[in-house]
Amino acid sequence: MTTKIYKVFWAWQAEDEEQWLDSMADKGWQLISVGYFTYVFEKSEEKYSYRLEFLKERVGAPSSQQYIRFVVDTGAEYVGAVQKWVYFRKKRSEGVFELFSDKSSRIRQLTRIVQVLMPLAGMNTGIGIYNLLLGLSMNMWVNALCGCISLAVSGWLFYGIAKIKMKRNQLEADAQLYEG
Amino acid sequence: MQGALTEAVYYILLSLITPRHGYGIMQNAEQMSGGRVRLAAGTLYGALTTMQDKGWIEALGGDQDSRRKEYALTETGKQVLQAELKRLHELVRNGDAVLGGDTHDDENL
Repeated sequence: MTTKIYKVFWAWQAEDEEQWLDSMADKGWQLISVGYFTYVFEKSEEKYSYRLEFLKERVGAPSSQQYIRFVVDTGAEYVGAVQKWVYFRKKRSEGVFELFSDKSSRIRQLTRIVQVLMPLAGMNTGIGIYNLLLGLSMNMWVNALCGCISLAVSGWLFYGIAKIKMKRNQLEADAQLYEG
Repeated sequence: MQGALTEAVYYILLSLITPRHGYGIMQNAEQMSGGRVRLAAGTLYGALTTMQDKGWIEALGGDQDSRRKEYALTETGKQVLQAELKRLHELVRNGDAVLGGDTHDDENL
């Protein structure tokens, strides 16, 4: 038996997403496939742990494929991908499952996400301001509206970036003392 | 003069005195450390890539696509490992001298 659920997780909510997938697994629903804001679960008492990662290159690139093969060889299963986000799972009966075991790899992962979000936020800010000013000065309400929407989107992205940076700063501070 | 290696890198190098594949390294590090050091796949892969770039380890076997590619320590890697062990000895020596040396019940691992 399978079920499809639509749920929104933003790029800075990867940990929340993992926790949600694990809690679904607790309830007997194991994720078997992913799409844009779409999750397909299969009813099964064989429970899995789920972890995601944001890749450096697109999923189809040789380096990404090599990495995925490596992770699978360590005993995990590849569930699927959405853009550069890859999903892995491992049977709980086979032990604890993590993709990162030290602070520097976690910090690198967060930096990677920020580096993708920043230009998006910047672009939206630029386009937003342009459209807004154009719309206001020439009385074109469509432009003004689009401008506002772009600015709202960029505001939202900057908020997410701030959350990631806060998490990263905490890790960096801890990294002065500990490695793991 | 090299800096301190991370614990993960130290255990990876130590594990590769014998050629192993990724999962073998994870198991070996966990076993050697009595379950304390658990290398995660993503972290391990990044470390292996970096160490290959530095020439500390090499991938064995010509086939890029073969599953379970094995890695082994190079001569450079062995030197790095030996230098690190020397550094660790210095740390323990000083720790024992200052603190009194009664923290050795973990030597039975």
